[in-house]
Amino acid sequence: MTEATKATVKDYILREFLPGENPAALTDSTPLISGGILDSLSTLKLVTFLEEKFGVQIEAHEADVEHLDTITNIAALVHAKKA
Amino acid sequence: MAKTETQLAQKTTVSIPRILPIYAFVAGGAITALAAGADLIGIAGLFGKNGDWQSKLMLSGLVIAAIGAALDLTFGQRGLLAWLKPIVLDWPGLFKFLTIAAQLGLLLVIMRTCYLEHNAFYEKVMPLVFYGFIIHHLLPRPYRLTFFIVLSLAAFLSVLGFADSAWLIGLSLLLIGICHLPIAFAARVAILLIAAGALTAARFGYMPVPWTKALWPILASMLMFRLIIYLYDLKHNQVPPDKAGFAHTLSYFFLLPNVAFPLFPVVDYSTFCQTYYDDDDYRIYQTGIKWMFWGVVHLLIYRYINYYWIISPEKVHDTGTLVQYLVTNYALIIRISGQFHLIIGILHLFGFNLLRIMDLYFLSTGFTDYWRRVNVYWKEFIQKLFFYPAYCRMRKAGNMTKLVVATTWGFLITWFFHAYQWFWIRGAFLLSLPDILFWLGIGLLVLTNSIYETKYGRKRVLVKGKATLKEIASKTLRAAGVFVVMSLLWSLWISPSLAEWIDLISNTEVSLPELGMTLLLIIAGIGSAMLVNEKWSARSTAAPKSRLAFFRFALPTAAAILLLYFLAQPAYAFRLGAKASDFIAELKMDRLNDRDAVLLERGYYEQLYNVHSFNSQLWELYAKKPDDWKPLTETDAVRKTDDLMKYEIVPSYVGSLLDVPFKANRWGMRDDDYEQTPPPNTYRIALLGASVIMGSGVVHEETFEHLLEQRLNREHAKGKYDKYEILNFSVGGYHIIQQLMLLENKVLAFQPNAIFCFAHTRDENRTSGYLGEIADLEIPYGELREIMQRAGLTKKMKHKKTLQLLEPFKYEIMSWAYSRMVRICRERNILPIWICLPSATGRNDSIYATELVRVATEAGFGVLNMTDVYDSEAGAYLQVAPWDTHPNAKGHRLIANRLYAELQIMDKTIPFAFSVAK
Repeated sequence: MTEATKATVKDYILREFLPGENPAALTDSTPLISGGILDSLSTLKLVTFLEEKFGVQIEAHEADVEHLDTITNIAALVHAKKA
Repeated sequence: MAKTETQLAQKTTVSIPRILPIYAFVAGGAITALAAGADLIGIAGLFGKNGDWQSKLMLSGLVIAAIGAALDLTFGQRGLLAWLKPIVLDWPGLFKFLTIAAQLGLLLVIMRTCYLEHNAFYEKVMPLVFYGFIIHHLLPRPYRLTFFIVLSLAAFLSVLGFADSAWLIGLSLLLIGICHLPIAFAARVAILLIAAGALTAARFGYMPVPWTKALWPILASMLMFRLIIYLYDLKHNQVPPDKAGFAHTLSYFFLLPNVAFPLFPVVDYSTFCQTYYDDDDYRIYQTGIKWMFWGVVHLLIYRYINYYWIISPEKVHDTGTLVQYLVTNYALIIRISGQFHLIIGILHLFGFNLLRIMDLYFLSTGFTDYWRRVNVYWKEFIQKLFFYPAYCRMRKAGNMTKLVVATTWGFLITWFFHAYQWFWIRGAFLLSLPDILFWLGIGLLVLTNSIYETKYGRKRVLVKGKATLKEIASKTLRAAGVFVVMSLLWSLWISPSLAEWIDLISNTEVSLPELGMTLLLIIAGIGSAMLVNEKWSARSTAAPKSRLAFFRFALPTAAAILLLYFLAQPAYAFRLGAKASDFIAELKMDRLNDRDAVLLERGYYEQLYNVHSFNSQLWELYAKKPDDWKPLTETDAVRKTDDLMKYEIVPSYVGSLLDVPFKANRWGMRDDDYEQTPPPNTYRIALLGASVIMGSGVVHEETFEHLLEQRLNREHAKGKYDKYEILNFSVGGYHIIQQLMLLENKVLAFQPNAIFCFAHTRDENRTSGYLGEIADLEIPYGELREIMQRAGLTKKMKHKKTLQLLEPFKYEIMSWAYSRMVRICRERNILPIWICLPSATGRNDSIYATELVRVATEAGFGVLNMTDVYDSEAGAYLQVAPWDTHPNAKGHRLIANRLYAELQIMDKTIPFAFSVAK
């Protein structure tokens, strides 16, 4: 479940924000927000994607480094929401 | 197994007598530190008038600490050994610590030598930071946060004093306490809003408060945003319990550097807690040193721009001056950047590994990029509390609608909070059209850019490669575009009104070739900076900082600090040659620029003008000015007249002015009483001038007029003359035209032997401003009317316009007034002496006096140029208050002594009153 979530999220990030980049360079622990890949607009775009794709509701205060900085964190958040 | 448990129990259950020695050691150390630092934190008075008890207490503390240490090492827990052993044995760590402490020490010396920011910072806060850092690091980790709070409170005590500090702490604890009341969240918010309402009423002055005005900006900057963030994070449990607590809360609100900086970064509570010692200690400290160094560099660059390049809007007339005005005013943002770097750097020294706050904003390649870089903390604050919640609330709306509404909301809040911040710091709500338009403009630009990025995306990379020349060129052009637009918007923001900004832009004769050249220069400048940055960041990416050895990481900053230290020392600066040495000396002086100095001075003559923005240093001075610190014209010491004089001193008035007694004689002079007809064989001198000559801010007995009169009578009376009388006809705010009228209508009746007409550098500009004000009145001087007509002055003309029109005629006006004065004097055998003083106390602005000296000399005055009167006391505090440039008693003594000496010299060429002196 988590691995599938990670793969879906990774695929989305590569497609939407990092077209043309080497997929291997994006790991589960690559810093997305603190590394400058996700800014406020792309974070919200990602939130909208997660809500639509996984049928969860992410609150405004969860759109932060703690929850969305890595693919692992994102998958954990989705997992916690679905549990 | 049983034995081990018993040993553990013995270890954890420490007997009180065995632990007492270590407590004695800590108590002794604390007493010693308190007594040693008593002067620094302003409690030396507690130890007797001459500090009698201070040394005794220090000695007692040392003895207690020594006994505690001896007992601990012999009969006690050997806790001291356990504490010090790892510090001493960790040689690399000790060496890193000493390297950081040495850099901090050098930075402290540089800040003090360069008088960086203000004396509360470099004389009180920075020494506390230095000593505090050393003790803090040597303490075991669990005690560090508590020590940081104690150190912060010591800084507040040091700068604000006992009473204000007590109020500040009490009020803050009360408001923080409300956040933790065991009631519903909404109820806590409601109580906080009621408390904020009461404070608002007090800030408006509707309610008396027991604290001084100086407390408001500090109290406000501590609480106005942090309480909002703190409440939000409490509500959403944003901080894990293991990273939060009472000590975290107190240290978040009582941030050490806050007491010296009312404009303070909006630090996020959860980030503050979560980044606390989240990396290697020494790396965090060294990063802090780096930010502090860059803070110092920014502040010195700010001074360079501020002293040498800033021009006032009145000077803008062509492409060159327009671009100079726009670019230099925008560049002044570097001061805020410098302050914020210093603040964040200091916090790093105590373990708070916060992000860099302002990040190469002049190289922003788009408006969203600019918004992200110019104040990272503010962007995060708006994003977290307003943008995201607004966006997420509109789940059913389309993405574009959500983006437009949330961004507009974010900028509306930003505008409101700017005015809100201004209210708490200055005490008046900022509601101006330029301010609204400025935020509206930025909001629209960011929104447009965001829509573009949402539609077409933004290039992001996982691994930053070497930028090609084409990429650098493209970035440069975009950055230059952002820079130009922001400079224009900034000029709008700092304009007193929209009309004046339109006037500034539309009345400038712009030449397209010159504009093209200027744009090319901007592109070249930004391109060079971009190239260096790309090269540097490529190098940084190639060797990530985390992998760099500490000393390799520290070396560039340490070397740069050392270089700056040597440059700041006169002995080394001198070797660079006289010009470079003078330049460095000028940069080291903390002063207002010429424009602000004039505006500060004008504050006494006119309404507060153009100090509503954070762009000027003036607002800081005015923020400290007590409400009852009023210029002469706003007191009942004067009464209005219907002519060009506008006002005059009320005869026999008794009251106070600028916190000192102010008494007028029966003739309406701020002076002793004199008969209108001089006593026999008396040499009578009449003084004409404005507030400095009148003695604003000092008691009558301290004025140079009184001192000189006393000296003349003491050293020369009973010589050629039996008595000397100096009659002070000066009135605060009087210009040369008013002085001329005063001479004709009042002074002559007192039959003076000499007239001392005092001028200040740039009087010609002030006179132009005055003529603009009286253009609607009947002017009794035909020649003056004729000059004003030639200049094109009409009734109800704008201030700036009159200044521009009168600019070519300003010396002609002065020449006319001076010549008329001299003619009047000569006709009555009165000796006309003209004396020039600097505009601002403590300064030598002789370069501005040259033309005025020529005009006065040609008019026939005996000229005494005293623009260097304060040079002998360079660096001394000579003004009555930081926000008031009138000379204090010491300044008046300098003027009196110099004037006496000048008169003695002059007596040999122009016969004065000393020729037959005893």
